[in-house]
Amino acid sequence: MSELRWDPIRREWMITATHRQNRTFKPPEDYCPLCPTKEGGYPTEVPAEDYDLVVFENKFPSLQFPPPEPAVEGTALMPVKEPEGICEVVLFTADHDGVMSRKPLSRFHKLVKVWRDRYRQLGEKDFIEYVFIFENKGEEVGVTLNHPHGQIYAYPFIPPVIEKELNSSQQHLNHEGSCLFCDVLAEERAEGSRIIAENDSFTAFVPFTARFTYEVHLYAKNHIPSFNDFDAQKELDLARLLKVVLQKYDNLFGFEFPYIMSIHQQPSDGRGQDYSHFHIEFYPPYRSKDKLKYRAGSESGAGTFINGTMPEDKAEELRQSEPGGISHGE
Amino acid sequence: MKMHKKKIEKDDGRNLIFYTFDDYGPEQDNPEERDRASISKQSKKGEA
Repeated sequence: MSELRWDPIRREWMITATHRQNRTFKPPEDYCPLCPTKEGGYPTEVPAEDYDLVVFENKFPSLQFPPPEPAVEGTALMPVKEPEGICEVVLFTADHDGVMSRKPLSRFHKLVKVWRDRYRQLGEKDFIEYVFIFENKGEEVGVTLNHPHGQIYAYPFIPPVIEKELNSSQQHLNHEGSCLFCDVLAEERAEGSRIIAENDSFTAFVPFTARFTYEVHLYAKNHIPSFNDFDAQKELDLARLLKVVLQKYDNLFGFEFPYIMSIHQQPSDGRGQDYSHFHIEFYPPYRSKDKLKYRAGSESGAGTFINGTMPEDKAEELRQSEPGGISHGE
Repeated sequence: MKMHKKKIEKDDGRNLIFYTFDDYGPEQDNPEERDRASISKQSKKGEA
């Protein structure tokens, strides 16, 4: 059973998807549904003995096409809709135990190309309004399958965090005549203390208002609304800086650093060409080497984050974490 | 680097796409990075 339910108080859609309660949860060590299907072995999601990168429709999707009928009837105040959309899984590598930060630059370059392809292909569908590419990494953020992979949700609406960002940037454009993200990045680069790495096309920094201790944002240096505006150089530069950020994270405390990675870009309906700005946000749950940060009362109940550290200090730690300093990530 | 796609339909009707690429040979993990980071998993207590 699955449907979209409208919350008139928060003014946002939420999704029910009861079938997801049965999704694969920490399978036995000798079985991974995301590995290639080996001869004589268990069948997996990928019917091949090896692969480079693979994308497939999620077996337990939150959004579906064609969508099922809603399980309940809504009201005028709280309407329901069919959960129309597409949920995909992106397998980064066939190497089950692979650590992405150790992978060669080519693996990141290929991944960027696949992300670009999926953003364009899914965004062309008339029932899709927003293509959201993300990665949940590590059991600390709820990952149930450890094989390196990410996900894509193609929504039939613009999700609330994205909507809020777009509204802010549109208002800023109307008042100041410039892109909000471009102006924030200009201030970050002029001030400099929170920059952790950059190359010709992208800058990685701990934002002035970091909500998580080791939060990092990665902004396009020029005004690029989406993957559709990338050229070959930007593809490669994004791959380089992604690798640098992951290396810094993993070398910070000597273990594979968990995070939620969230790619924000232009909605698929084409609006926001002059105020959508391609960027990636990382939210790691660790607030120190051996302690996690939880979203508790103030964060969950009131929406106000409390960061117990100075973003400038954490940026310095990440700058010092290998690969050191401002790096081009070769 | 040219990208190739091969789309198949799985037994249950879901789509699956294999992506392959020209110009890249076999990959190996970077041994320098392996040496530098002794990567492990750990779980810790959390606090708000």
